[in-house]
Amino acid sequence: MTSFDVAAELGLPELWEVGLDGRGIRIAIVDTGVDDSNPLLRGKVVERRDLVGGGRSIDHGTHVAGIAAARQGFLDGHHLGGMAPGAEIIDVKVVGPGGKASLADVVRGVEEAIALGAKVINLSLGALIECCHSALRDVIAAAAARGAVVVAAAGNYGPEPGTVACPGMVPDAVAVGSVCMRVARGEAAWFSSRGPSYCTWGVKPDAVAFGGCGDLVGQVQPVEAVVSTGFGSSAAAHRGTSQAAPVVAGIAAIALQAAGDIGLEGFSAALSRGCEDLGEPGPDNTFGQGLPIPARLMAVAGEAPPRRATSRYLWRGALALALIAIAAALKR
Amino acid sequence: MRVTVTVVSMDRVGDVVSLIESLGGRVVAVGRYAPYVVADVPPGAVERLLRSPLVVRVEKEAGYEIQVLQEPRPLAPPRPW
Repeated sequence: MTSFDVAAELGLPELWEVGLDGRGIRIAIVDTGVDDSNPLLRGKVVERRDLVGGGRSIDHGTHVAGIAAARQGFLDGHHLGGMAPGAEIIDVKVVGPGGKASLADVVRGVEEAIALGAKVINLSLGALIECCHSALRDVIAAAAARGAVVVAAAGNYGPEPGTVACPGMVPDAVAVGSVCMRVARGEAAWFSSRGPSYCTWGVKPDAVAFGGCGDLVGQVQPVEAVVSTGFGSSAAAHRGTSQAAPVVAGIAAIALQAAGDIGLEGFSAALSRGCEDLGEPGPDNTFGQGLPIPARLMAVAGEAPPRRATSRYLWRGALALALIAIAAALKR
Repeated sequence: MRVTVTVVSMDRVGDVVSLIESLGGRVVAVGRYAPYVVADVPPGAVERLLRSPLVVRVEKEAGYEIQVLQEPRPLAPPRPW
Protein backbone atom coordinates (compact mmCIF):
# COMPACT_ATOMS: atom_id res chain seq x y z
CA MET A 1 0.00 0.00 0.00
CA THR A 2 1.33 3.40 -0.99
CA SER A 3 0.79 6.46 1.16
CA PHE A 4 1.62 10.09 0.57
CA ASP A 5 1.61 13.67 1.84
CA VAL A 6 -1.47 15.19 0.18
CA ALA A 7 -0.79 18.79 1.25
CA ALA A 8 2.67 18.80 -0.32
CA GLU A 9 1.33 17.14 -3.45
CA LEU A 10 -1.22 19.94 -3.86
CA GLY A 11 1.36 22.69 -3.34
CA LEU A 12 -0.23 23.99 -0.17
CA PRO A 13 3.06 24.87 1.59
CA GLU A 14 3.42 27.79 -0.86
CA LEU A 15 0.11 29.21 0.34
CA TRP A 16 1.02 28.68 3.99
CA GLU A 17 4.17 30.73 3.43
CA VAL A 18 2.06 33.77 2.58
CA GLY A 19 -0.20 33.24 5.58
CA LEU A 20 -3.02 31.38 3.86
CA ASP A 21 -3.42 28.44 6.20
CA GLY A 22 -7.05 28.68 7.32
CA ARG A 23 -6.39 30.77 10.41
CA GLY A 24 -9.49 32.33 11.88
CA ILE A 25 -11.71 29.66 10.33
CA ARG A 26 -13.42 26.94 12.36
CA ILE A 27 -13.82 23.53 10.75
CA ALA A 28 -16.36 21.21 12.37
CA ILE A 29 -15.56 17.53 12.17
CA VAL A 30 -18.92 15.81 12.63
CA ASP A 31 -17.62 12.30 13.12
CA THR A 32 -16.36 9.73 15.65
CA GLY A 33 -14.58 12.26 17.85
CA VAL A 34 -11.13 13.81 17.63
CA ASP A 35 -8.22 12.68 19.80
CA ASP A 36 -6.29 15.89 20.34
CA SER A 37 -3.64 14.16 22.42
CA ASN A 38 -1.99 13.54 19.07
CA PRO A 39 0.88 16.06 18.95
CA LEU A 40 -0.16 17.37 15.55
CA LEU A 41 -3.66 18.13 16.82
CA ARG A 42 -2.80 19.31 20.33
CA GLY A 43 -4.50 22.57 21.19
CA LYS A 44 -6.44 22.70 17.93
CA VAL A 45 -9.81 21.52 19.21
CA VAL A 46 -11.53 24.68 20.44
CA GLU A 47 -15.00 23.25 21.02
CA ARG A 48 -16.26 19.75 21.66
CA ARG A 49 -19.71 18.17 21.72
CA ASP A 50 -20.46 14.51 22.26
CA LEU A 51 -23.98 13.54 21.21
CA VAL A 52 -23.59 9.77 21.52
CA GLY A 53 -21.10 8.99 24.33
CA GLY A 54 -19.25 5.71 24.48
CA GLY A 55 -15.68 6.96 24.13
CA ARG A 56 -13.56 6.78 21.00
CA SER A 57 -12.88 3.32 19.65
CA ILE A 58 -12.35 4.29 16.00
CA ASP A 59 -9.66 6.73 14.89
CA HIS A 60 -11.72 7.90 11.89
CA GLY A 61 -12.57 11.36 13.25
CA THR A 62 -8.99 11.92 14.36
CA HIS A 63 -7.73 10.89 10.93
CA VAL A 64 -10.21 13.16 9.13
CA ALA A 65 -9.44 16.10 11.43
CA GLY A 66 -5.75 15.63 10.73
CA ILE A 67 -6.29 15.76 6.96
CA ALA A 68 -8.27 18.97 7.31
CA ALA A 69 -6.21 20.88 9.84
CA ALA A 70 -3.29 19.08 11.55
CA ARG A 71 -0.10 21.04 11.90
CA GLN A 72 3.00 19.81 10.10
CA GLY A 73 5.23 17.20 11.67
CA PHE A 74 6.50 13.67 11.72
CA LEU A 75 4.60 10.69 13.09
CA ASP A 76 5.88 7.12 12.87
CA GLY A 77 8.47 8.33 10.37
CA HIS A 78 5.89 9.91 8.05
CA HIS A 79 5.86 13.61 7.29
CA LEU A 80 2.28 14.70 7.34
CA GLY A 81 -0.03 17.58 8.05
CA GLY A 82 -3.40 18.98 7.23
CA MET A 83 -4.55 21.22 4.40
CA ALA A 84 -5.34 24.17 6.66
CA PRO A 85 -2.94 23.92 9.63
CA GLY A 86 -4.00 27.32 10.93
CA ALA A 87 -7.69 26.44 11.18
CA GLU A 88 -9.41 25.60 14.44
CA ILE A 89 -11.30 22.35 14.93
CA ILE A 90 -14.76 21.85 16.37
CA ASP A 91 -15.17 18.23 17.39
CA VAL A 92 -18.78 17.05 17.16
CA LYS A 93 -19.11 13.37 17.92
CA VAL A 94 -22.16 11.74 16.36
CA VAL A 95 -20.78 8.35 15.29
CA GLY A 96 -20.82 5.48 17.75
CA PRO A 97 -18.32 2.67 18.27
CA GLY A 98 -19.59 0.63 15.31
CA GLY A 99 -18.86 3.42 12.84
CA LYS A 100 -22.57 4.20 12.47
CA ALA A 101 -24.62 7.23 13.27
CA SER A 102 -28.33 7.82 13.44
CA LEU A 103 -30.05 10.36 11.24
CA ALA A 104 -31.17 12.33 14.29
CA ASP A 105 -27.62 12.59 15.63
CA VAL A 106 -26.19 13.69 12.27
CA VAL A 107 -28.87 16.38 11.98
CA ARG A 108 -28.24 17.55 15.54
CA GLY A 109 -24.49 17.43 14.92
CA VAL A 110 -24.76 19.82 11.99
CA GLU A 111 -26.86 22.13 14.13
CA GLU A 112 -24.23 22.05 16.90
CA ALA A 113 -21.57 22.92 14.34
CA ILE A 114 -23.61 25.92 13.15
CA ALA A 115 -24.19 27.07 16.70
CA LEU A 116 -20.48 26.84 17.51
CA GLY A 117 -19.54 29.08 14.61
CA ALA A 118 -18.21 26.58 12.12
CA LYS A 119 -17.56 28.08 8.70
CA VAL A 120 -16.72 24.69 7.22
CA ILE A 121 -18.56 21.52 8.26
CA ASN A 122 -17.09 18.17 7.24
CA LEU A 123 -19.31 15.09 6.99
CA SER A 124 -17.20 12.05 6.13
CA LEU A 125 -20.22 9.82 6.42
CA GLY A 126 -23.22 8.84 4.40
CA ALA A 127 -26.02 6.44 3.69
CA LEU A 128 -27.32 5.18 0.40
CA ILE A 129 -30.78 6.57 0.95
CA GLU A 130 -32.75 9.41 -0.59
CA CYS A 131 -32.77 12.52 1.61
CA CYS A 132 -33.83 15.21 -0.83
CA HIS A 133 -36.61 16.59 1.37
CA SER A 134 -35.27 15.64 4.76
CA ALA A 135 -34.36 17.35 8.01
CA LEU A 136 -30.72 16.76 7.10
CA ARG A 137 -31.15 18.67 3.86
CA ASP A 138 -32.89 21.46 5.78
CA VAL A 139 -30.08 21.89 8.32
CA ILE A 140 -27.43 21.79 5.59
CA ALA A 141 -29.38 24.51 3.77
CA ALA A 142 -29.53 26.44 7.06
CA ALA A 143 -25.75 26.16 7.39
CA ALA A 144 -25.29 27.43 3.84
CA ALA A 145 -27.67 30.31 4.52
CA ARG A 146 -25.40 31.30 7.42
CA GLY A 147 -22.33 31.36 5.20
CA ALA A 148 -20.94 27.93 6.02
CA VAL A 149 -19.64 25.43 3.50
CA VAL A 150 -20.77 21.85 4.16
CA VAL A 151 -18.45 19.26 2.62
CA ALA A 152 -19.59 15.64 2.47
CA ALA A 153 -18.05 12.38 1.35
CA ALA A 154 -19.61 11.32 -1.96
CA GLY A 155 -19.72 7.76 -0.65
CA ASN A 156 -17.90 4.49 -1.23
CA TYR A 157 -20.73 2.91 -3.20
CA GLY A 158 -19.26 3.21 -6.71
CA PRO A 159 -18.49 2.68 -9.44
CA GLU A 160 -22.11 2.39 -10.60
CA PRO A 161 -23.93 5.61 -11.56
CA GLY A 162 -26.39 7.24 -9.19
CA THR A 163 -24.59 6.08 -6.06
CA VAL A 164 -23.74 9.41 -4.43
CA ALA A 165 -24.85 9.00 -0.83
CA CYS A 166 -26.90 11.18 1.45
CA PRO A 167 -26.01 13.88 2.45
CA GLY A 168 -23.62 14.38 -0.48
CA MET A 169 -26.56 14.19 -2.88
CA VAL A 170 -28.28 17.33 -1.58
CA PRO A 171 -27.70 20.54 -3.52
CA ASP A 172 -26.24 22.56 -0.62
CA ALA A 173 -23.55 20.00 0.21
CA VAL A 174 -20.22 19.89 -1.63
CA ALA A 175 -19.86 16.18 -2.38
CA VAL A 176 -16.31 14.93 -2.82
CA GLY A 177 -15.23 11.77 -4.61
CA SER A 178 -11.83 10.14 -4.47
CA VAL A 179 -9.10 9.83 -7.07
CA CYS A 180 -5.71 8.14 -7.19
CA MET A 181 -2.69 10.33 -6.66
CA ARG A 182 0.53 8.56 -7.48
CA VAL A 183 0.43 5.46 -9.59
CA ALA A 184 -2.62 6.36 -11.64
CA ARG A 185 -2.91 10.09 -10.92
CA GLY A 186 -6.38 11.46 -11.51
CA GLU A 187 -8.01 8.10 -12.12
CA ALA A 188 -11.27 7.74 -10.20
CA ALA A 189 -11.12 5.35 -7.28
CA TRP A 190 -13.14 2.26 -8.06
CA PHE A 191 -15.15 2.63 -4.87
CA SER A 192 -15.92 6.34 -5.26
CA SER A 193 -19.64 7.01 -5.77
CA ARG A 194 -20.76 8.41 -9.11
CA GLY A 195 -23.54 10.85 -9.92
CA PRO A 196 -25.93 12.14 -10.94
CA SER A 197 -27.59 13.49 -7.82
CA TYR A 198 -30.74 11.65 -6.90
CA CYS A 199 -32.19 14.99 -5.79
CA THR A 200 -31.65 17.15 -8.85
CA TRP A 201 -30.32 14.78 -11.51
CA GLY A 202 -27.57 17.34 -11.78
CA VAL A 203 -23.85 16.66 -11.63
CA LYS A 204 -22.47 15.04 -8.49
CA PRO A 205 -19.95 14.72 -6.98
CA ASP A 206 -19.00 18.39 -6.98
CA ALA A 207 -15.27 17.70 -6.96
CA VAL A 208 -12.71 15.00 -6.28
CA ALA A 209 -9.62 14.86 -4.10
CA PHE A 210 -6.89 12.45 -3.13
CA GLY A 211 -8.62 10.13 -0.71
CA GLY A 212 -6.86 6.99 -1.78
CA CYS A 213 -7.88 4.44 -4.31
CA GLY A 214 -7.61 0.81 -5.26
CA ASP A 215 -9.73 -2.23 -4.67
CA LEU A 216 -9.44 -4.40 -1.61
CA VAL A 217 -6.75 -6.67 -3.00
CA GLY A 218 -5.05 -4.22 -5.35
CA GLN A 219 -5.83 -6.07 -8.57
CA VAL A 220 -8.11 -3.58 -10.30
CA GLN A 221 -6.21 -0.51 -9.12
CA PRO A 222 -3.03 -0.03 -7.11
CA VAL A 223 -3.84 0.57 -3.48
CA GLU A 224 -3.12 4.04 -2.16
CA ALA A 225 -4.06 5.48 1.19
CA VAL A 226 -3.80 8.79 3.02
CA VAL A 227 -1.56 8.99 6.06
CA SER A 228 -2.86 11.24 8.81
CA THR A 229 -3.18 11.48 12.55
CA GLY A 230 -4.22 8.44 14.57
CA PHE A 231 -4.77 7.83 18.27
CA GLY A 232 -2.13 9.09 20.67
CA SER A 233 1.13 9.82 18.93
CA SER A 234 0.55 7.48 16.02
CA ALA A 235 -0.04 7.90 12.31
CA ALA A 236 -2.66 5.90 10.45
CA ALA A 237 -3.37 5.15 6.79
CA HIS A 238 -6.94 5.01 5.57
CA ARG A 239 -8.68 5.46 2.26
CA GLY A 240 -12.14 6.32 1.12
CA THR A 241 -14.21 9.33 0.22
CA SER A 242 -14.04 9.97 3.98
CA GLN A 243 -10.44 10.98 3.36
CA ALA A 244 -11.19 12.99 0.21
CA ALA A 245 -13.81 15.22 1.86
CA PRO A 246 -11.51 16.83 4.47
CA VAL A 247 -9.00 17.69 1.74
CA VAL A 248 -11.66 19.93 0.19
CA ALA A 249 -12.83 21.06 3.65
CA GLY A 250 -9.31 22.32 4.38
CA ILE A 251 -9.09 24.04 1.02
CA ALA A 252 -12.49 25.63 1.68
CA ALA A 253 -11.19 27.00 4.99
CA ILE A 254 -8.26 28.64 3.20
CA ALA A 255 -10.58 30.03 0.51
CA LEU A 256 -12.85 31.55 3.17
CA GLN A 257 -9.81 33.04 4.89
CA ALA A 258 -8.49 34.43 1.61
CA ALA A 259 -11.70 35.76 0.10
CA GLY A 260 -13.82 36.60 3.12
CA ASP A 261 -17.37 35.55 3.70
CA ILE A 262 -18.01 34.08 0.28
CA GLY A 263 -20.12 31.20 1.58
CA LEU A 264 -21.21 28.18 -0.41
CA GLU A 265 -22.12 30.23 -3.47
CA GLY A 266 -18.70 31.84 -3.67
CA PHE A 267 -16.84 28.63 -2.92
CA SER A 268 -18.83 26.71 -5.56
CA ALA A 269 -18.06 29.43 -8.10
CA ALA A 270 -14.37 29.23 -7.19
CA LEU A 271 -14.49 25.44 -7.54
CA SER A 272 -15.92 25.78 -11.03
CA ARG A 273 -12.85 27.78 -12.09
CA GLY A 274 -10.15 26.48 -9.78
CA CYS A 275 -10.11 22.79 -10.58
CA GLU A 276 -8.06 20.63 -12.88
CA ASP A 277 -10.61 19.13 -15.24
CA LEU A 278 -10.47 15.34 -15.26
CA GLY A 279 -12.20 12.81 -17.47
CA GLU A 280 -14.59 14.14 -20.09
CA PRO A 281 -14.21 17.89 -20.75
CA GLY A 282 -16.36 19.90 -18.33
CA PRO A 283 -18.17 18.77 -15.19
CA ASP A 284 -19.17 15.14 -15.12
CA ASN A 285 -20.66 12.58 -12.78
CA THR A 286 -17.36 10.92 -11.93
CA PHE A 287 -15.13 13.89 -11.15
CA GLY A 288 -17.55 16.81 -10.83
CA GLN A 289 -15.62 20.02 -11.48
CA GLY A 290 -12.41 18.04 -11.10
CA LEU A 291 -9.46 18.21 -8.74
CA PRO A 292 -9.22 21.49 -6.79
CA ILE A 293 -5.84 23.13 -7.30
CA PRO A 294 -5.46 25.35 -4.22
CA ALA A 295 -3.30 28.08 -5.77
CA ARG A 296 -5.60 28.35 -8.78
CA LEU A 297 -8.68 28.28 -6.60
CA MET A 298 -7.39 31.04 -4.31
CA ALA A 299 -6.64 33.20 -7.32
CA VAL A 300 -10.27 33.09 -8.42
CA ALA A 301 -11.95 32.82 -5.00
CA GLY A 302 -12.06 36.60 -4.54
CA GLU A 303 -13.51 37.05 -8.00
CA ALA A 304 -16.43 34.77 -7.32
CA PRO A 305 -19.78 36.47 -6.86
CA PRO A 306 -19.89 36.48 -3.06
CA ARG A 307 -22.96 37.49 -1.11
CA ARG A 308 -21.52 39.98 1.32
CA ALA A 309 -18.20 40.71 -0.32
CA THR A 310 -19.90 42.56 -3.19
CA SER A 311 -20.00 45.82 -1.26
CA ARG A 312 -16.31 45.42 -0.45
CA TYR A 313 -15.45 45.28 -4.15
CA LEU A 314 -17.65 48.29 -4.82
CA TRP A 315 -15.74 50.21 -2.16
CA ARG A 316 -12.44 49.12 -3.65
CA GLY A 317 -13.60 50.28 -7.08
CA ALA A 318 -14.77 53.63 -5.71
CA LEU A 319 -11.46 54.09 -3.88
CA ALA A 320 -9.51 53.33 -7.05
CA LEU A 321 -11.57 55.90 -9.02
CA ALA A 322 -11.01 58.50 -6.30
CA LEU A 323 -7.24 57.93 -6.38
CA ILE A 324 -7.24 58.27 -10.18
CA ALA A 325 -9.19 61.55 -9.90
CA ILE A 326 -6.78 62.91 -7.26
CA ALA A 327 -3.79 61.92 -9.38
CA ALA A 328 -5.32 63.67 -12.42
CA ALA A 329 -6.02 66.83 -10.36
CA LEU A 330 -2.44 66.91 -9.04
CA LYS A 331 -1.13 66.49 -12.57
CA ARG A 332 -3.02 69.60 -13.69
CA MET B 1 -41.91 -0.66 21.88
CA ARG B 2 -41.17 2.71 20.32
CA VAL B 3 -39.51 3.92 17.17
CA THR B 4 -37.32 6.97 16.81
CA VAL B 5 -38.45 9.28 14.04
CA THR B 6 -37.48 12.67 12.73
CA VAL B 7 -40.58 14.67 11.92
CA VAL B 8 -40.17 17.50 9.44
CA SER B 9 -42.89 20.07 9.96
CA MET B 10 -44.28 22.87 7.83
CA ASP B 11 -42.91 25.68 9.96
CA ARG B 12 -44.38 25.75 13.48
CA VAL B 13 -42.56 23.07 15.43
CA GLY B 14 -44.57 23.78 18.59
CA ASP B 15 -47.77 22.40 17.08
CA VAL B 16 -45.98 19.22 16.03
CA VAL B 17 -44.54 18.80 19.53
CA SER B 18 -48.07 18.95 20.92
CA LEU B 19 -49.27 16.49 18.32
CA ILE B 20 -46.47 14.02 19.10
CA GLU B 21 -47.16 14.22 22.81
CA SER B 22 -50.88 13.75 22.26
CA LEU B 23 -50.06 10.53 20.40
CA GLY B 24 -48.05 9.22 23.34
CA GLY B 25 -44.65 10.14 21.93
CA ARG B 26 -41.64 11.60 23.72
CA VAL B 27 -39.79 14.51 22.16
CA VAL B 28 -36.01 13.99 22.12
CA ALA B 29 -34.85 17.12 20.29
CA VAL B 30 -36.30 20.13 18.51
CA GLY B 31 -34.56 21.78 15.59
CA ARG B 32 -32.92 25.14 16.12
CA TYR B 33 -32.19 26.02 12.50
CA ALA B 34 -34.73 23.88 10.68
CA PRO B 35 -38.31 22.85 11.47
CA TYR B 36 -37.94 19.28 12.72
CA VAL B 37 -38.58 17.26 15.84
CA VAL B 38 -36.84 14.05 16.85
CA ALA B 39 -39.15 11.85 18.89
CA ASP B 40 -39.67 8.36 20.21
CA VAL B 41 -43.20 7.37 19.25
CA PRO B 42 -45.37 4.27 19.40
CA PRO B 43 -45.31 2.51 15.99
CA GLY B 44 -48.99 3.25 15.46
CA ALA B 45 -48.38 6.97 15.76
CA VAL B 46 -46.33 7.16 12.55
CA GLU B 47 -49.35 6.79 10.28
CA ARG B 48 -51.27 9.40 12.22
CA LEU B 49 -48.36 11.81 12.03
CA LEU B 50 -48.18 11.34 8.30
CA ARG B 51 -51.87 12.20 7.97
CA SER B 52 -51.44 15.49 9.81
CA PRO B 53 -51.37 18.64 7.67
CA LEU B 54 -48.69 19.99 10.03
CA VAL B 55 -46.25 17.27 8.98
CA VAL B 56 -44.24 17.30 5.77
CA ARG B 57 -42.41 14.08 6.29
CA VAL B 58 -41.66 11.41 8.88
CA GLU B 59 -38.19 9.90 8.60
CA LYS B 60 -37.38 6.65 10.31
CA GLU B 61 -33.88 6.07 11.58
CA ALA B 62 -31.24 5.22 8.99
CA GLY B 63 -27.72 4.04 9.58
CA TYR B 64 -25.17 6.60 8.40
CA GLU B 65 -21.75 5.05 8.01
CA ILE B 66 -18.27 6.51 7.95
CA GLN B 67 -17.03 6.33 4.36
CA VAL B 68 -13.74 4.57 4.89
CA LEU B 69 -12.67 1.19 3.57
CA GLN B 70 -11.92 -1.37 6.22
CA GLU B 71 -8.24 -2.03 5.78
CA PRO B 72 -6.83 -5.45 6.47
CA ARG B 73 -3.27 -4.10 6.35
CA PRO B 74 -1.24 -2.06 8.82
CA LEU B 75 0.44 1.22 7.96
CA ALA B 76 3.42 0.52 5.74
CA PRO B 77 6.77 2.17 6.52
CA PRO B 78 7.43 5.40 4.62
CA ARG B 79 8.96 5.04 1.17
CA PRO B 80 11.07 7.68 -0.51
CA TRP B 81 9.84 8.89 -3.89
